[in-house]
Amino acid sequence: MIDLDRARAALIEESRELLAAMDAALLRMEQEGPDPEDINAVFRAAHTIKGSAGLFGLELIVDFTHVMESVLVQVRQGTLHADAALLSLMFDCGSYISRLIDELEQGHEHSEPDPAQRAHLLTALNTCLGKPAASASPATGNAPVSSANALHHWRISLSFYPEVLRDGMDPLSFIHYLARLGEIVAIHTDSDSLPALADMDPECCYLRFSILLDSIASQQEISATFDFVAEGSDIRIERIEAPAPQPGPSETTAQPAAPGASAPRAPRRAAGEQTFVKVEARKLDELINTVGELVIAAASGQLFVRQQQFSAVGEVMGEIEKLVEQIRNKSLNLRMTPIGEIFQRFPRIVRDVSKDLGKKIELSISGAEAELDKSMIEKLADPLLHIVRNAIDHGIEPIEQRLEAGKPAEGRLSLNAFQDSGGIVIEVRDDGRGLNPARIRAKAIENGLIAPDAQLDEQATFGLIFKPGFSTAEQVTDLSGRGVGMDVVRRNIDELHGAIEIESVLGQGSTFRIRLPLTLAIIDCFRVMVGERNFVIPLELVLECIEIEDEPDAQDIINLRGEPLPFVKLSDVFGIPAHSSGEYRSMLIVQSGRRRAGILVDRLVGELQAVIKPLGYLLSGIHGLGGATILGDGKVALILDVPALFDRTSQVEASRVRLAEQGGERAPRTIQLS
Amino acid sequence: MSSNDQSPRRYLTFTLHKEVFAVPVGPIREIIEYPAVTEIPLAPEFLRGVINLRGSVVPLIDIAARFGRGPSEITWRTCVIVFEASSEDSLHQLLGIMVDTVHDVLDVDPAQVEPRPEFGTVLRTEFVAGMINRNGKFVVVLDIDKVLNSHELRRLIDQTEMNPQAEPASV
Repeated sequence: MIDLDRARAALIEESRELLAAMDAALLRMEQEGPDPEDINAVFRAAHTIKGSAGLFGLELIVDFTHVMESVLVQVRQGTLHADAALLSLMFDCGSYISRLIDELEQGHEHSEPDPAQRAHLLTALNTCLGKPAASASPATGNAPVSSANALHHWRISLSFYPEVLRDGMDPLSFIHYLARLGEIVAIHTDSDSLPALADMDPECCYLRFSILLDSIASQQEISATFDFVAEGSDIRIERIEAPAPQPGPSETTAQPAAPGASAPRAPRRAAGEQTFVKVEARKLDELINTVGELVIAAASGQLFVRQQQFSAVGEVMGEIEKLVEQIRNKSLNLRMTPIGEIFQRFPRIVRDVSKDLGKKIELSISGAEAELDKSMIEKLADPLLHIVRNAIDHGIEPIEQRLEAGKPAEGRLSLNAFQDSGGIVIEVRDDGRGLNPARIRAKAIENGLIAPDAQLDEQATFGLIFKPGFSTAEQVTDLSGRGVGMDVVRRNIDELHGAIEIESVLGQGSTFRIRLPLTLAIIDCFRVMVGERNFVIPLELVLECIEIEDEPDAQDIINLRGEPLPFVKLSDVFGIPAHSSGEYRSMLIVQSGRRRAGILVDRLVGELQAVIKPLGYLLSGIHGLGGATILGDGKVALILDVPALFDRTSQVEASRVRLAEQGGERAPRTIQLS
Repeated sequence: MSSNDQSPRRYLTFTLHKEVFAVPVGPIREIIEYPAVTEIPLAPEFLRGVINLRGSVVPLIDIAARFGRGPSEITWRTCVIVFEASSEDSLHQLLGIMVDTVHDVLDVDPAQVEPRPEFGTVLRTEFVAGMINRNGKFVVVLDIDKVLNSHELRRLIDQTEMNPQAEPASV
């Protein structure tokens, strides 16, 4: 059962990839005209999904893809032209199959997500095939389409009488003839009754066949094929509900139609963690090569030890250390997946959504090769989808409005990913109407999210759209504007330790910028000390280090080349007793998002590569600590979570100020870290 | 603890501030010498810090402080018992507790374990799983799931963290 589940997971994964490939091919054809290579890609996708689904007896998928495949065969042969209508139909078919796959993932493999859509698509497909549309009777529940000339699965067991060949009949020709009635899905040759070579009569037929046939022919039509050999042969034709995984050789036990797996299965694990990581073969080869080198180095080390050549051992140890480091990096690298994996879904989504809304949109994608941790890619898909939908729905104006505003009719949407200061930034930019701070504000007040007299700067106002229950869309559309979503976007990004920023100019467009750490596993760090304690700070945040000779005054602001720069004393924030010999102290200037500030420490130690160890549930509530790492001497050093540290400091300051001016209405923050 | 099972159970005994306690050996992962400890800023007194247990970062709890008896002193006999925290809330976490001395492992008949008294053990009664009658002397059996309850500990840690003035961080 477990293996089966894994195989199903693989099926789901594979089908999604194929559907994505199919979408890509369809999109290309829509833009650049039909191309045999693309038609093949679509056909391959439908065919492979059908084949894999057949192994699991997923008749809903098999039946549907079969009809689709028939249409595609004709397109391939040139009898049907891949015009816009057909491409559009194929797009819809793709979406429908993807819904079937979703159902499958949820464990409802025999439930029909949308009978009406299925019936509609089947009618359209059959019309393409030139068949009477009548065959697409409204699907009843999840029963397969059951009209007179609908497609059925047949299991045919053929045991020809041994002298059949002598009578001038070739069993193979019957099988060839069957292929004309429909499609032979599987064929199994049973050679059990083959006698020993010495006893064999070369003119006799000992072979038996069992065949799975998908055909719209009736039972009589099929059995008529065998009229000539009916006498003396054992020929069984039975209709089955779903193609059995394999036509078993034991067809003498007339099985009733395979009932499929109709027993309700326990719900599968919720659409959750991806269990597979696809790894580029090159990366794996590199890792294996390095491990090979390590094995050799270890062996030579052992040899030197045995020969007591200790100076050579030292050299080998250095080599081993280097290799271990490489292996660590390479194995962590295995989890890295190009972000293109989610970007590739967007051309299709943009096409569909803009079509629905009657907008014209040109999508440009760049930076698809930027790599991110696989688990993060998965969690990023939904928030990104939501932002893109919002941009199309609310951001980009209808054509008339655009022309009126002097913009080109075609809206521009760009998806862009790039590396920036040790993290990755993903931008969704549109040239639409932009966010209207006044409207957001009004809506937030109306929904009771803020007080009518609240003072908010632009960023804070934009931030309101991430609050639960917020929606400015006057018209609730099918796509977005239901007031759910943006808060989920924020939450998902938070879970990934990321941040989201909005830039928007009214009338000119907006940019949503998601900033994420590359991976949650390893980072370059800078090690500092406060008293005897070690702390490490992600190197990508460190702009510069400066030495400070005299203790700055009480103001917690220094003059950095003429600019005022706020700073925090790590010893104060963490309640570490002041160090006695603090005449020379160092400050790290760090930048996190748009905030820049200094962190005052006792001593700078140097750079190191830190494998991040989680602090665990117990300690995860401590603000300002992002994890821990183990130093070369085996000691644990704590990793600073700089944004949280700043937040904490401003909170503490704010409450201190509030205490100081007891009775005052609202304490202004003294530290503005922007 | 199931009282139906009549086979003897094994308990590890140790000293804490001159008092002997026992814990069932089941959840114990290992016992190590007192290691180098990295203090956690803004932590309550009972959280000594974190240690490196072969690459895992494991919190170290001073249970004497947790019981309100003040921080333990570190001597050459101080040990750390590493527990695998209960999996009931599926938070598989290793936790170390520091003890003054580790004694031995006892095989105890379940019949010999007396139910916990209403009062008189000087500990919060929920921390006590029972008493072992050993040569006429009673040894307190700790309910380690309660003592090391992750949620409770986290709550206390978060509280101290949010309100550091309430308890000046002592070193």
